[in-house]
Amino acid sequence: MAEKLRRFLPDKRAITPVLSNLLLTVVAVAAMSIATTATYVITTNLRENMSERVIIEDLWFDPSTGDISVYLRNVGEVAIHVSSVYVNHTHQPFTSPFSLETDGHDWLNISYSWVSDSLYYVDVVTTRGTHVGGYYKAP
Amino acid sequence: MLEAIIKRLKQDKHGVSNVIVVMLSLVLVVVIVANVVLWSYQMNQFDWERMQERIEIVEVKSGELISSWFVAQTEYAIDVGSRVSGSYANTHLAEDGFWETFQEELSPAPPRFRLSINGTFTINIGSYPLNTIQTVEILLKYNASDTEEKWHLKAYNWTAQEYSDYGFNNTSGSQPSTPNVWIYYSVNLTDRWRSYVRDDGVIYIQFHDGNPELPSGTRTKIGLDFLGVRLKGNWTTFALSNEGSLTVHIVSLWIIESTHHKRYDTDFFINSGENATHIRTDTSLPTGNFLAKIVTERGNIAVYKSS
Repeated sequence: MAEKLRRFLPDKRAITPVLSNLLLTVVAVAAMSIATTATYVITTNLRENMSERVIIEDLWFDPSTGDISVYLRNVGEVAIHVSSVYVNHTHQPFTSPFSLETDGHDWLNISYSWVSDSLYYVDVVTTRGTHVGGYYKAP
Repeated sequence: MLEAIIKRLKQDKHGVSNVIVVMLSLVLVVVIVANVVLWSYQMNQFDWERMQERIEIVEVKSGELISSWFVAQTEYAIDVGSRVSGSYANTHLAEDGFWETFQEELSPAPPRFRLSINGTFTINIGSYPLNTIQTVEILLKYNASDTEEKWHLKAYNWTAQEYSDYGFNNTSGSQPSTPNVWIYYSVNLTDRWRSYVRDDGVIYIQFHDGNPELPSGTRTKIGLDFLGVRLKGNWTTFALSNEGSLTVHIVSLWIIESTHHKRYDTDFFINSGENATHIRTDTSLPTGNFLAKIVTERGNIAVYKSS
């Protein structure tokens, strides 16, 4: 072994092609890693966007609190996070942060002073951009 | 031929890197497209199934209600007597034209013509928890080949460890007035029912003759067309109809009135094309107008408005 090393070290021929090949391999591996990671990130986002499904089980104009309570259920295949709530196209404060795991369900309370016999358009928006809502008339 | 191609490739290395890059890029593109197509298919299937669901609330009732009949799921045991024809399955439905026939046999000393059979009945305590039951009712439909005897219903008293009719609303028995004519005979276990129902919902019911005949008398034949047990209790029932082509899983139930919206977790399945009654023992309906709402696992909602 020591004899082989003694013969190899003084001989400097073909060092440049070896180094260039090595460098090219590193660059190629790095480029493919970046491409694979980018693919994973893009497809994961795409999959999550496609798999998001939320429904409103119930909407309650709660006379005891004066707020609007929305009961949401996650019927999709990914967890959801509510980013915004709009009443009549105006952003309203709500119990934040609000997240639901798959098959999760819970009340989302919107701080809004509603008036009897008025019509409201309630729109709940998730972080991935899914909208769920509709028109509701206050009792 | 192959050797020539390999030789040429070994000699000429131009474009090999291009080929490798294109192949790797193709792999990535195929992976992306395959995943997108697959997920799209999955979610399209979910949406399609959701659209296929057709669930309806037919009726919502609350108060003192009667359960369906619980019938024998195994053959009757014969203490004295013999089976002539039919089976326990023929005693599940009245008016269906099928019944099971038994006959008296001579008992050991003192010799008498006797018939005594007993059956096992199991209440579904998952649907009807014992603490929600008010009483238990037993119904018998039978005929006798002669009119000389009275016939009695008893149940096994788990406290006294014997068959008894103590506490029944009727202990006098039933006596046919005409041979071979079908007779309905029912007894109610009143507020003593709990002694006759085991914790797992099992009731043993005995049917026997009242005044055994001497060996010189008649050997009576009994036709048993129906023997069943049902419950009375204070429940809320939701009559549901699944008119879709898929089994529906109901996960939420709502009772909505003007002042309150109450939600109940539910785990109830209805097969395609079937009607089913969902019984709640933890729900009471408001006295005024209300809305009942059910939510399926796929996200569909059915609503019922009280009139």
